[in-house]
Amino acid sequence: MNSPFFARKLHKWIALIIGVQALFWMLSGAYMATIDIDFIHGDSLVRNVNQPLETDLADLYAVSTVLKQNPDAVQVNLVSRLGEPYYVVIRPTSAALLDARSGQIISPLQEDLVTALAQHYYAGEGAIVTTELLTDDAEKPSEIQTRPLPLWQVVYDDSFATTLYISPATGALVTRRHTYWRLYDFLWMFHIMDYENRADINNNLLRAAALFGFAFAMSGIWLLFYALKRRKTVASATEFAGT
Amino acid sequence: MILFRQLHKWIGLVVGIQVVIWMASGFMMGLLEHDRVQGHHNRSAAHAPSPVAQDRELVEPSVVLSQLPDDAAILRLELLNLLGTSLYKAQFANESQLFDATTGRKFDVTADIARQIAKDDYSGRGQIVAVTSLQAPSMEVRRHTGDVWRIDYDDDDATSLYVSRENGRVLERRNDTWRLFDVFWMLHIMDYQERESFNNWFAIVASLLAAWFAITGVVLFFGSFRKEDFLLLVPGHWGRKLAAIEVYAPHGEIVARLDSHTGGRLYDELAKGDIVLPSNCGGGGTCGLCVVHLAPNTLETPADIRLISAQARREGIRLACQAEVVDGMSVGVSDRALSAELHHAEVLACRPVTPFIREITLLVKDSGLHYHAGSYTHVVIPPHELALSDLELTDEARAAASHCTAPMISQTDAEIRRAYSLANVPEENIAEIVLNVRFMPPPGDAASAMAGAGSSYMWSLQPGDLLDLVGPLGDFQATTSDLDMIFIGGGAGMAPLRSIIRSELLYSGRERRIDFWYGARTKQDLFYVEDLDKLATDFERFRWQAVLSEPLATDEWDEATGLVHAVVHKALLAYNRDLASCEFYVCGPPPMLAATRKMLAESGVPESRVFFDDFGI
Repeated sequence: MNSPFFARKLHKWIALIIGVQALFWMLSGAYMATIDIDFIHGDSLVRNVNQPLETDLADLYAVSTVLKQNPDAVQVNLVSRLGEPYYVVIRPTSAALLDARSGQIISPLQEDLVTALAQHYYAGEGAIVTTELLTDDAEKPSEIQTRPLPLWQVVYDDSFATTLYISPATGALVTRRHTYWRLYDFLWMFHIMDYENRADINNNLLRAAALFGFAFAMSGIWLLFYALKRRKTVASATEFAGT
Repeated sequence: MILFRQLHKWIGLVVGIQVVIWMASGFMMGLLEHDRVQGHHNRSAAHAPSPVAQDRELVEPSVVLSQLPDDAAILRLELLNLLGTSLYKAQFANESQLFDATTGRKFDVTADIARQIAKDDYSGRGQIVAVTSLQAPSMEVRRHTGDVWRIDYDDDDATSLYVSRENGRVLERRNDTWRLFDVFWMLHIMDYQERESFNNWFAIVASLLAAWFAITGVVLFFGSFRKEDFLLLVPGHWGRKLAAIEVYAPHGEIVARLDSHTGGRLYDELAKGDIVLPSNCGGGGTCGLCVVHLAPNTLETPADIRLISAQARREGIRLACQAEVVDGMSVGVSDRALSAELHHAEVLACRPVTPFIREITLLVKDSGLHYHAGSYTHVVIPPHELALSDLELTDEARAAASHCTAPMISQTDAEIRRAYSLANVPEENIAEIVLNVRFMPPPGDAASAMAGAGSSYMWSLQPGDLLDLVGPLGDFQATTSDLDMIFIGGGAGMAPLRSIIRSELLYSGRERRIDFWYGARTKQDLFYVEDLDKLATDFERFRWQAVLSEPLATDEWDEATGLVHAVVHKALLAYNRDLASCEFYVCGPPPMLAATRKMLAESGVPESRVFFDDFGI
């Protein structure tokens, strides 16, 4: 077999093995490169996420009192929620939200406060469709990834199907998801070939596929080398005139 | 389909290398353990963070906040424990600041504290060799800002931990694995400066092109597979039928008979028979080099229509890479495909051996010509214009051409090829080859007629002239049986017959009986007489007989007279030769060849015993 033929056959048969995956790689790669990553992160769909604290904080409930009530607190954070100061008490395995002026324990947050927080964070035009407290790990949406439950899920009816996740313990906006993020995540799964957790880039399937992909690309380059050779004039029938 | 093929090729030219880089870098990133890349393999098992120390009275947040400028937008104030010290961390949009929670004063993460933070974080075997202060962002802490401490370890992986001077956090755990990974990452996302964002124009353009590239590839993929391809994977020839292919050279000489199977591409089946056609595209149907001559009614594929002129297609020219094998097909292949290579040669000597036959000795450059006795070669005749005076003719040949009054006796605008058999034997010399070239005078009496272009050119050659030739070609050669050999020839047919005879007598090691009948018009048309006489003297099993058809009175010829085929016929009858124990090797001018084959057929000699070369004349 002459070498262009070998190259073409090699390219063709490797394509049988890895061609579809190569298509997934290219399409998902193009999507990821083209679409703005900040948009995917949902930066444009939310506001007030890093709202500064009010400057007038003279008459706060004393931190020392909070600490006495929570001797196992590893961290006490003074934060802003709905423009008001709150304490977030972080314990080794749990957290709580306190009104920083009265010292009253707010957590776990109830639906009306969550709705108010969601509207405070949400920058879109849509209306809330559902507000649900997710507690069952068995029914945990994969888009929350490794974040622990419980979490409030607030779904909007906008064109992005924006979903906000709010912690019932701290009132923090834990994460936000939307259609393009979900597509991104789906394509990312195909890109790294971890169909289970969509996170492990060290899986052997990916390694084997990438190796085939490399061979695929190299055989293509090899073929290209021949394909770009100047075409010679086509032999004519006159050579066979004597037949 | 051709549009997709062209798109695939040209996009491939633009992004092909990047696709290779993507695949290679993707593979390497998949290979490098992510734990190691992140430096997590040397990270201390997470121990529960210590509660905020309350052994001393803490100041309230207002004390810290009062030290900040009025316009400082503070997002969060954290009370935490760092190495047993209670601290407030004021978090701003892009920076942070620590305060001692007992004094309310600003707290500086010193080199010693950073060293301790690093020690607590790192579980590897290395020792700290340096603690350096630097300003982020730099390449290894490019996602951070502010002052940082870099703590270098002397482990094998050259670990560096980065501790924020603002807030004491371990920002990054870098090592050589990460550094390697980072190069692949850079190559993968095509952000060669920041190595951070794949939303850059290089990556966008390349990935969009690559997506098109992949789509065109998928289309081509479906076009390039046929169900027969999968039959080829099955061991044996399951699902495929036997197919005989007959392969002939230009001018019709059968050069091979292949036992093939249906379902394959003709190109591949020929290749299995060692007939490798030229190809640049490797079966893509784009280079148009693998042309063959098939039956004119053979299906025309789109590639045929694109690459081959309508005229040539009407005559049966097709691309072998597109044609399917069918049983009983005849395939004409060019001499180039018959493992015939282009050689350069130099003329060593020229001499007329008869009035019309010129012996030309050539030196084949480089590795010589690996031919067998009976081979021929195609001599490349370049475009030329030759006057009668340019030719080194004998008086007789000049007289035969004298009726030509045209200024040029030979003229051609195109390169042509002429076949000539080799008159010598490869065992003696593969570098020097001998051709016998007959001069073809202008036919008839027409004053404007020209002489044969090939023969004119060959008769114009002088020692030192250079010449290109293609070869060796042909399968006219001795069999390896023990049957008697009867050679019948005429004119320049002397060349291959003499070559086979010499090779058989001197070098084959076999003991076959050989008879050689050679026909000529007159005695002066005979050549190599002394050489043949000597062979007849040296070898009892070899006899040769010249037959003259028109002997001159001056020839004083008293031996066989007449047409050579008729004389042979009479002799075979007279001596009652057992024709079943003979093989016949025939070469000479077309009328002589036709008459001889007819005579042999009528004498009951099976076709399989008759070998002829109607080409090397």
